[in-house]
Amino acid sequence: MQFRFPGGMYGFILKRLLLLIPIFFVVSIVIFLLLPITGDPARQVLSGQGRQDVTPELLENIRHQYGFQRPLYIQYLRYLTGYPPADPAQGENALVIPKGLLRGDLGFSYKYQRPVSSLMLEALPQTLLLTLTAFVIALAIGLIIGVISALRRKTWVDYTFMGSAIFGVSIPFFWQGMMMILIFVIWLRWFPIPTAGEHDLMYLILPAFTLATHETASLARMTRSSMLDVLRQDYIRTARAKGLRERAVVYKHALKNAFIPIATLLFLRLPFLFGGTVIMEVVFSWPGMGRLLVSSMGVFGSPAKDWYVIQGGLLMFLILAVFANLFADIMYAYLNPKIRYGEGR
Amino acid sequence: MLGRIHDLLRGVLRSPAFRYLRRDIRAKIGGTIVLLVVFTAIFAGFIARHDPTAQSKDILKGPSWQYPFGTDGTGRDVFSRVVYGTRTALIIGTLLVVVQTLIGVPLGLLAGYMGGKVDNLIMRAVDAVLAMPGLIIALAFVAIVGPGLYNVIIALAMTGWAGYARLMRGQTLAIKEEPYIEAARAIGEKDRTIISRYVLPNAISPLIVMVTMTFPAAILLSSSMSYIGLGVMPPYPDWGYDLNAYKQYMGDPMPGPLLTILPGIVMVITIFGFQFFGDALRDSLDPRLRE
Amino acid sequence: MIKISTSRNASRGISTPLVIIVVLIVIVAAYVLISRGEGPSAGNVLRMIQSSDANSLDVDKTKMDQSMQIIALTQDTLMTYDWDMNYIPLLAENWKIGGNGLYIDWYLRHDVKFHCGEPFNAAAVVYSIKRAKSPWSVQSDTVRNILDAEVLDEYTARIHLVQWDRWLYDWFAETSSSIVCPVCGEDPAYGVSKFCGTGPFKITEWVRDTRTTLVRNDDYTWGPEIYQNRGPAYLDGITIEVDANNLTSEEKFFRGDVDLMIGISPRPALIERLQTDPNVAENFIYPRSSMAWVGFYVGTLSPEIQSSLPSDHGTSPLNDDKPWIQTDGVMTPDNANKGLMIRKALLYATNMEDLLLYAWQDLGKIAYGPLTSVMWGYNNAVENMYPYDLDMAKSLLAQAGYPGGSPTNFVLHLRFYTTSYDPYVKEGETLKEQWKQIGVDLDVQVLAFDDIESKIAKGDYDMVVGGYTWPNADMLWWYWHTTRVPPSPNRYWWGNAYTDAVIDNTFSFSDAVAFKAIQESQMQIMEDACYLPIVERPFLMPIRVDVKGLRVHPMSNFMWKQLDTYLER
Repeated sequence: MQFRFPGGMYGFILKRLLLLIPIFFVVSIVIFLLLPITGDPARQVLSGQGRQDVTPELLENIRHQYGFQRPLYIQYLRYLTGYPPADPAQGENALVIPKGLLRGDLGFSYKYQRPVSSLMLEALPQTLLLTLTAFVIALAIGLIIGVISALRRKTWVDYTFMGSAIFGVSIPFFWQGMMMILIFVIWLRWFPIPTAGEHDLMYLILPAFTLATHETASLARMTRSSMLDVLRQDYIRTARAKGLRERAVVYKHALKNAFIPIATLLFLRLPFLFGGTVIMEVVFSWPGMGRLLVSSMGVFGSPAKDWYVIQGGLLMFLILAVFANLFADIMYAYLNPKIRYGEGR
Repeated sequence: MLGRIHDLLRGVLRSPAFRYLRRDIRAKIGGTIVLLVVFTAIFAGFIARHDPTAQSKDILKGPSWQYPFGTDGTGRDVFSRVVYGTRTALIIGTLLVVVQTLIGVPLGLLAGYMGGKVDNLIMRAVDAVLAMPGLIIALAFVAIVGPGLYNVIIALAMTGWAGYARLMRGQTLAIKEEPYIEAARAIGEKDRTIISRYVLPNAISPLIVMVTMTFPAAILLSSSMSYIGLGVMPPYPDWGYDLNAYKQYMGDPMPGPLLTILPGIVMVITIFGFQFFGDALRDSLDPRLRE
Repeated sequence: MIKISTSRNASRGISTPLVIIVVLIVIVAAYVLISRGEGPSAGNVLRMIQSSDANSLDVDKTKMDQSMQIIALTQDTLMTYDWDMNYIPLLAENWKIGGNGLYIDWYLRHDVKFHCGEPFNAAAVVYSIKRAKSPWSVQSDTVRNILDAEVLDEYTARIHLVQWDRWLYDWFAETSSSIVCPVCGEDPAYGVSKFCGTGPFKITEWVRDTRTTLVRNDDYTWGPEIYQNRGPAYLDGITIEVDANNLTSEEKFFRGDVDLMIGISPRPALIERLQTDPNVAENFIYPRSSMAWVGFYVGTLSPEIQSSLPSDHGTSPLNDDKPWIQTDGVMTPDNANKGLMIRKALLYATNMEDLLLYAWQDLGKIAYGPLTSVMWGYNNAVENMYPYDLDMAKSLLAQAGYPGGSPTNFVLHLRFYTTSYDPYVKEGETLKEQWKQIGVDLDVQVLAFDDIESKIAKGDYDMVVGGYTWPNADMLWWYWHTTRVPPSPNRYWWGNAYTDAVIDNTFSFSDAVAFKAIQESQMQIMEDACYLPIVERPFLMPIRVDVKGLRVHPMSNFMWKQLDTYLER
């Protein structure tokens, strides 16, 4: 039987999905290597527990509990598959030996004394909520502003919008967050005080809008220039020359064609947005993966490093970035007739 | 030698790009800000009234003639700290440009010129890197190796070079088709010579834009990292680090909030200046907009 | 209208999703403007807020203050202190020390139950002791002098000691010795998601770095006699919120969303606001046995210890390779070496008032020795040992071989490692400015805690920051005995057989011998200029006027059992 690779868009998507497997392996190796590279993992564990009375016996004890004494490739195998399992005879603690990434075990957080996967499960929806809300807001406002600016080119409307857009791109996330809190929470009291663990709507609005600012500005600029490009095209002139109503010309032709390049690039902006989310979560105490990640990295207020959480958080963000790219590729395939109707190469 | 420089300068000043810039208000405003910032960074010692690390008994005083931005919790002059902070910001931007250029430009040139498997390989790597959340990777890197000025630059360059590579590749691909390249090859010029003599100089202009645009990104990202605590550490004065240290005074009566408002405004204006100027620069080098 | 045939390539119906998005925005905006943010409801629950969270609620896995304050509310000890630091009964009605300090018999109450329903008895006491002695327990060092424990009868337990240890006796009154439930203590999730104890409150939920929720234990009737209410508590419950951002945590306090703040970093504007706000109770500064200090790398361990050190452990201008004190005994101040001169010079060159002002906002008491002034055995002779004297400092430096130091001529370069904790960083920056005057250049570096630990392990440092909160002079052995192998907790690499012998005497069964030994240890440490004590940090705990009946116990920072506390809203 001859295997013929499916063509067209399904083939394209299938190929991309299959590519995920080797990507996953590469990412897992890189992330696994983080811990052994940075020094004695047993010491990291102890400092994560806030213990200052470190003796060599205790270090050995912890080393055996976590299985750090095994050769590196065994540790990676464990990390991935959970085999070989914890050996109590060697003093290995089943609770903290990984049961395998493939089974959904991301390791054990010694700071929280919980499996990392359960921490991630709680935090991931919050991060997605914040990022996607900001994304939608940016999309809505940015596109509208961009289109209006393009249509009212070189008028005061255009200058105001684009001027604000440049400012929007120039304001660092964290400073904007601080100012928003100062103005809207402390002075005006319109919003509740950002509290860790609270993720109701009222707590979502400020960080989402702050995060959206940068993205809105970028999208507005992109939309405007894309729109201008399209409006300049010959076929628009042709349509106008045919005598069609202005509105029909604009909405039916220009908008659709202007949005195509934006749509293909849209999801590619998500990785950058995730970076902003991390900062927003820190500033607004939003209970997402970013805040978890930063507090595990050993910074102000929580100096001990929690390595499995760092690994897990990094892994989650990289996976999210990979999926964002996948969606971008699918979008590109959908909108690009060559791929959609082509032979899937 | 001097003659070559003279010719170069005349070429630049007479170019349509430069004439565009002279009329564009964005270039004027942005350019002024950029020059001001660079000037401040170079002559920080003269502009700042006090040593940025000198403590005094004037704790948390409001803006005055002696302390234009007031003083912080240990009596240090905030204005001096901000002034020296421009130095740190520009150093980070410059070094980041250098590293990213050194890595990205040769790779991009290679990929574009060689084509085929080399191009494929390099571009796959570039795509992979561009897909990643750069700030998060940088934070993880600093978490591993520790904070510090040079670590921050390496951390940001780790993902930043990809943009340069992609740009150079695109430029190289476009220029490769030009007739004078074919002619040079016909004469028998070596690849190396072709790249350095013909491709590179013609690909410079978008590279200059990219370099200019790297500065606002560098300041944005590095100050965010310092704010969190995974960036530049004392004794280097850094805007992000200071803003984190001063945020504890935000709820106090004036002049408390000013400690975060004023340095922040300076930071925003700096970034804005580079961004504005970069926009104008990009438009000036775009042949389509020259109508 | 002329119909146009549009290509079907591009997405259609852009307008519909746009309209939906716009409508959503309008709804959200309306919601925002109409409703305002509300704080959590009050009721009869005490709401606390603190800047960092506990890392475990298992008494054998942590020593953090944040953990201890919760454990004090949910568990009990055998005995405790009254307001004057005398021992009074708690879970034990009575006790007897026998065998010249080789065992202690505890006669327990009969009416105590754990939250899970298990009875409290001698078996529970024996279990708790065994647990504290486990190799993985953080207390295994503290209880090293416990030999074992046995059940004499259902409500009598005997604890055998290796030798008399006065600090161990103290331990039975400290929260660390709280009795653990024999059933629940075996659960691997104990201290994380499973909790139990005999205390006046029960933990219902612990969300890390976010919130801890406690409710009243209605069966509690065995409160210590220092409280007028022996139990159950008046409060329905207690919530402890965690917020590292002082801007938001202070706002919550002043707006009445929380009733009590802990772990705040003092600054003048905050203190002023606390003093002038009519809703804040007048008293919020309490003394505490806690100190911030800077440790020097002295590196004069006795030769036996030195030979076992890693070969790459370095040297510093602050130490010599020769021990200052001969191992056969006598302390000879004339037997000075270069390192000692430098260290003394630094102490003379430190302006303690300025340091207190810049690094600690003038809050607290200047510290002069290794012990705090509230500890039993504090020797106030240390207070006059190093007055601020720049000339003396310069001449000492010259004697050490570094003459002519001044702000324009640095003769010595030293490394100062600190964590990112703001007051510590400020300490470094202030000392840098002060020691400039004698020509010492201090390189202040902010590092992660682990990095500092590894540098101490290699002797690759000159100075490090530190702080401790300790009830008694036990910390002399803990931090300064040579068996306390570096890097932790002996981070000074100081000591020899003679100083060890003096410290060993602090454990003596005879109060007189112990007292004398404690006094002498302090003198040895300060004469050898081993470290720079900075401040005795006070305990700040502002409460709102709604909170009544709360009295802070001098033992340490905790509000403790909260049995008399009630809220008047």
